[in-house]
Amino acid sequence: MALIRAGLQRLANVFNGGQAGVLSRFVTSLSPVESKTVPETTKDVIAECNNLIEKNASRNFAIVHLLGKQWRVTDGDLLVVEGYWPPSIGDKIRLDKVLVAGTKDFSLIGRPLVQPGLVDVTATVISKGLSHTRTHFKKKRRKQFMRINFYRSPQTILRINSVEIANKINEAPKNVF
Amino acid sequence: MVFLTIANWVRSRGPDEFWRKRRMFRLAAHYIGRRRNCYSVTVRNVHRALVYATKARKLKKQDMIDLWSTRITAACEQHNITPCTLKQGLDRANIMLDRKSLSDLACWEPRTFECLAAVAKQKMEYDGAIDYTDKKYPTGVNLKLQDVMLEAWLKEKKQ
Repeated sequence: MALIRAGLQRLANVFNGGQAGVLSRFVTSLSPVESKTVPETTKDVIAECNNLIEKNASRNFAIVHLLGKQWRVTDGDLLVVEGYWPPSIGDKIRLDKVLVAGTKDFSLIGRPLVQPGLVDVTATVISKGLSHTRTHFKKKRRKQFMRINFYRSPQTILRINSVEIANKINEAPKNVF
Repeated sequence: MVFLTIANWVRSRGPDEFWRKRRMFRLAAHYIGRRRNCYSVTVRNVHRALVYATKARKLKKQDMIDLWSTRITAACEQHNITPCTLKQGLDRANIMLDRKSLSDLACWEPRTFECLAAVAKQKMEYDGAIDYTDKKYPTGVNLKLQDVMLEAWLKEKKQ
C-alpha cells in the first residue's frame, strides 16, 4: 500500500487538464503537455484509492484548520475551541479547511488545502460555556506591588460527526464556493 | 449575611482578619506542615504559587512547542532528513502543516509523515537547494512517488 500513499491532490487537475470547461480555474495551473505523459501506474493507484473509498474499509482522519489552529480529527472526536466564536449550540458545521485527509491505506495531502468538496468533515456545536477561573496574580518583592485579577475565557465544544471522503478522487470537484 | 452559629456571628463584625486568613488557608489546604497551618508561612507560599501559576500558562505553550519540535526531530532522523529541510521543503511545496500537526502525524500516522518527508526532500532537489538529507540512506525510495505524478505539481511555482 505504500506506493499508493502520497499526495494525490491536484491529480484531478492533471487528468482533466485537456478537457477544459469543467475545471476552468484549475486548468491554467498545468500545461496540457504534462497531462499526456501520465504513466499507467498512476491510473491504477487512483483506481485503487477510489475502490478503497467505496468500500469504506477504515476510519478516516483529517487535519482541519479551525480558528488559527490545526486539529487532527476523526469520527466522534470532541474539540474544545477556546476564544470568541459565533456559532451557537446545535449548529451543524462543515469544516472546509482540510489540510490532510487520510485512511488506513492512503492519505490526501492538500497544497495547502485539499480541493473543495472532496473531503466532508461535519461537526455539531454541543456546548458553549466558560473555562475554569484563571487567576492572574502579579507580585513584586519589597516594592509593595501586588495585583490580582480573575478571568474566564469562552469555550465551545464541538463533536465531529463524520469525516468522509465524499467525492471520488480524480473526479471534477463539486463547486461548493 | 445569615450565620447559623454564634461563632460565625461574632466574626461577622469588626475586622475581617479571620476571613482574610481563611481565604489564604483555603488555597493552602493541600500543603503540608507549617506551610498549611501558620499564616505567615502560608501567605508567602500561596503568593509564590499564584505567581508561578500565572507565569506557567505562557511557559506551558512554549514547552508544548519544544515537545513538538523534539518529536519532529526524532521522526526526521528516522527518514534521514533534517527538520529544517523538512520545513523548508514543505513550505516550498505549499504544504502548510504546523509543528503541532506534523508531530501528531509523526506519532500516530507515521506512514503519512514518511510521505511528507519524501515530498519535502524531492521538492528541495527540484529547487536545487542545498539540503542536508542523508545521501547514503535516501528518504522514501520505496514509495515510488513518480506513480502519483509528483513531479508535475512539485515543479510548479509557488503561487
